[in-house]
Amino acid sequence: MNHLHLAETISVTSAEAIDWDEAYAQFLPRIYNFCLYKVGDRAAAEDLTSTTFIEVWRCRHRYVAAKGALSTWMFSIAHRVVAQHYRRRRARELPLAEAGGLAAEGDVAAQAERRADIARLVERLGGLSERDHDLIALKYGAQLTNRDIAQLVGLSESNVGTILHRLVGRLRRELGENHE
Amino acid sequence: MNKQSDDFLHAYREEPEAGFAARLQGQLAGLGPPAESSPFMRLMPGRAGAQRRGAWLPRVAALAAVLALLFTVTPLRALATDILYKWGVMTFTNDPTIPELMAAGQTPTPVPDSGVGVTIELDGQQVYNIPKINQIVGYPVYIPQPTPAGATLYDRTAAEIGPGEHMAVAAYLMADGGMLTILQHRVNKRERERPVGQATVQPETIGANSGVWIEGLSTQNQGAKLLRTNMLIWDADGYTFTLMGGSLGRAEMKAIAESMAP
Repeated sequence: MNHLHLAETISVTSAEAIDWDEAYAQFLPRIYNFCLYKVGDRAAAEDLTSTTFIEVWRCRHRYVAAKGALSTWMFSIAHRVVAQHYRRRRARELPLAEAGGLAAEGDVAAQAERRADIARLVERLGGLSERDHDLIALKYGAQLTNRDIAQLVGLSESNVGTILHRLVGRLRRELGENHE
Repeated sequence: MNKQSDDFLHAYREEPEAGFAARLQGQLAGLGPPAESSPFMRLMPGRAGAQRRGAWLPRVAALAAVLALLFTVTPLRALATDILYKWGVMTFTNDPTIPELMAAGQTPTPVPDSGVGVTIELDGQQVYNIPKINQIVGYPVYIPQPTPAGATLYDRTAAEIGPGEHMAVAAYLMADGGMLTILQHRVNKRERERPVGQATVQPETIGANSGVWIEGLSTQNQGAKLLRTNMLIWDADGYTFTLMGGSLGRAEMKAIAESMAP
């Protein structure tokens, strides 16, 4: 396994063999960010992350390694938890008002600029179709590979790559990003 | 290191607050320990290492789109008029490359029977060994022998490019930070063309086989940034090989090509 990539380093054959401490360390930030990219609200993202991990823990004996990677299983639960959240609320969260309340680094102006950037992104994400929003959250929030995303959403890997490619270009244009 | 154009999407990630992480740990621990493990009781071991590795993600992910666009070919009826060079069944034209069209705000329309249109993600997660890749693609995969100086194998994988048809892909990180990618698939007799824009295309000889050298080809990363790469394409032993990389010159590429063996 190449050391340059944030790889799935957990190789298991059964739920009992999983190092749950390591799983928690690896997946907490990724599931949290998946939720954050989906709902655009830090408090809601924390709630959904908690719900996901509790569900994972309660259902751990149902995990069968032969059927797929641990990451795929965990994110399928996270995906379902977020979908349930939307169904309950029957509407999407408003853009993340306090999204910029990030780590207190840099000066006030930089924080304000970052806050505004994130609010713009979340607003744009909210305007995407459910599928496209899922793809962005799974790719950039959860940092899943196209292969894993394809398994989760039922598209081909090639299709996921093509859609993401266009989405990134579109978001970049809409946001007027200067990331040349 | 160059900044990739999808960095802005990664940049919005944040770390969960330590207080939240600790509360959740406590909550999970309160659900009762499993038989053979103490759940979630250590505080995020190895997190710093994971973050460092994750920093590579945007740069590596960009390769997916590069490969996808290089292998999107268009049918004969879409041919441009200015034919540069015809090599076997492949025709090179001065048409803008797909990345160039996209960078200009146009949306190329994929044609269902246009041949290979495949996205490959080089993530280094599962580097197949030679027996495994041979088994997957169904033919002996050629590798440079020896490995080019300063090159480190980053990924070796396979992509389905047609019904029962696979392409072997190997990516090497070079000492200068560049990437060398090697592609191999069975010779495809379908008529096809490859727009190369303003890149130069010249005949080249690799051993006893003829091929072409393409210099200054536009490719594109996962966002919209145009990149320049060089390619060496040739047929040998019933396979089409492609070497591509932005930091290698013609002589270096040719030396690597001539060292390829199963």
